[in-house]
Amino acid sequence: MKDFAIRANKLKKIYSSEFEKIVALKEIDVEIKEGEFVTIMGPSGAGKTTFLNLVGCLDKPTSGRLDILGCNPIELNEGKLSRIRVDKIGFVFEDFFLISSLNSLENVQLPLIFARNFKNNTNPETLLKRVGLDHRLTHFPNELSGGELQRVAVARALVNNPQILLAD
Amino acid sequence: MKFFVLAYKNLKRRKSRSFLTIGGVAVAVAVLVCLLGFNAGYQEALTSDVDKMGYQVLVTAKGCPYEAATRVLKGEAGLKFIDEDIYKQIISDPDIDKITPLLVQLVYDPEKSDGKGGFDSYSGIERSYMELKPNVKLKSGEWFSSDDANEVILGYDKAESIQKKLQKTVGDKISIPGEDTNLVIVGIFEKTASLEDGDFFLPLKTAQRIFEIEGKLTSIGIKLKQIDRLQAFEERLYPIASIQVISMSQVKGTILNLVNSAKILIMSVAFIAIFVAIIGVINTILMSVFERTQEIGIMKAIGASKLDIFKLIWIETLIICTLGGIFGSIIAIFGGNLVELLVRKVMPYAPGGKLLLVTPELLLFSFFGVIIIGIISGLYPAFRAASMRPIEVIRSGE
Repeated sequence: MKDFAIRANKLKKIYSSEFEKIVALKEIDVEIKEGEFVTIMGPSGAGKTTFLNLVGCLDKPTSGRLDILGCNPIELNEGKLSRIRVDKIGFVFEDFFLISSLNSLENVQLPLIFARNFKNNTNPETLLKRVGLDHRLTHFPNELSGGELQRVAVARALVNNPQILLAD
Repeated sequence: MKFFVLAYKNLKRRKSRSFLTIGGVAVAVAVLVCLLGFNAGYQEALTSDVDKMGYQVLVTAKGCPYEAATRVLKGEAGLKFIDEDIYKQIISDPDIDKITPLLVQLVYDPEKSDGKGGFDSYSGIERSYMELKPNVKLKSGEWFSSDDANEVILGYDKAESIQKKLQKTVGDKISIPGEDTNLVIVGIFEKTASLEDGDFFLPLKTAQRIFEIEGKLTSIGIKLKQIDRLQAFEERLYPIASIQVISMSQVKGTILNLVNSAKILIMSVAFIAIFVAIIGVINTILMSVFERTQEIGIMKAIGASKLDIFKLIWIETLIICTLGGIFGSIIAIFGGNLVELLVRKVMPYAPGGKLLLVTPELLLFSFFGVIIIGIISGLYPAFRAASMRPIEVIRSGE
């Protein structure tokens, strides 16, 4: 039987402002096993991105339990969270968030600068070739189409061979 | 791709701002190098000038001792004349090792400096002058044929300018402006790298005759057998009311004290320049951090740690300061001569030789100084950048 990659129990996230409180996640329970491919669907504002941000160790829940590859991100400090982000999680953001001053190849190379574990890395050029962008290596984000930007973002998310790939 | 490349690319993106900040650091470094170089150079040049004089003690007419000594250092006439009899009176003093009488006169030459006019210095000397000044040697020609011959020996620079302007050299005749007497050039002194290189040297008696001040001197240069006998020597001369004894080491100390006082003011200006440069560096990096809030957030979101961001921003600061340090050193090396030229024009007395001493040690000191300043300047912007929370950036981009 496969281990759980992501396990959430009564996970809750509330965004508080001066005037109101917005409940983005209301005590959700999720279990995703290693190797599983899961799609989360829902209307805009349903909390999909909030959930991915919690699973991606970018944010902390208001309450509940969260287990990512055997770690509880709620209890980890900023340094350990960044290690999980760079070594174990690949994130394709909704707006891609490529660095405008770096070309496609450099954008994909970027996580390698921050990585400590170099054994699992994939060659950025090979990855860009796999997503069909070997002819766009030196192109900057403003020279790429929306689809090409997305493919660069996918290559960047995969470069450290993450155990979890989150695509918003 | 490494951190350094990433930092360099960030700076390259904002070329004008980076260039101006590097320029600010470069100016601060150049100012620091020039000021410290001037301090070291002036001290060395003054010491060299005083040592080259060969005198430890100078006897002049009563007046301000420092003004008199400075005038003699500059190769100008003394304040007043002293009787030659005093020279004859003190020559047998037991503490004196070497002694020479001097008569210095300034003569206005309307043709000097391409017709702008200026003063030339004519020194009446005796052979004992050469004994007191070991670095003064004849390059060509010979010593005066007699004690009152109408002959002249030229300082090295003076000989060069006369050769260039009048095509005259050893064996030719020159005249003193406003005087009827012609003088035969009998010799040229070797370069001494002092102000005396620009002087005319005549036999003492000839100078007294031409300038109609027979039996008078402007000063007497003395080297004592032992410098610690100075006080006893001074006390013996005390009864001669019309003269004063000046120790050259005291003069040197006084001039250096004056220069040191000015140095404090100048150093304050240098530190203000450095402070402004630091503010400029902090401002540039901080602005860049604020403008790149999203980028920094993205880097943290894809795994950059606080230390990584801190390192990145710090490297940017270091690149600015290192380039500023390099360009500042280059400006100081090549612009130093211009500064020296300006200083010479402004200062009432500037010794011969190099005034601005830009040594490798000084360049290294300034260069590493600016690197340390860079490290300190980068702390706050780097800390601000490292403290950003990735989620805030991700959410603001939603």
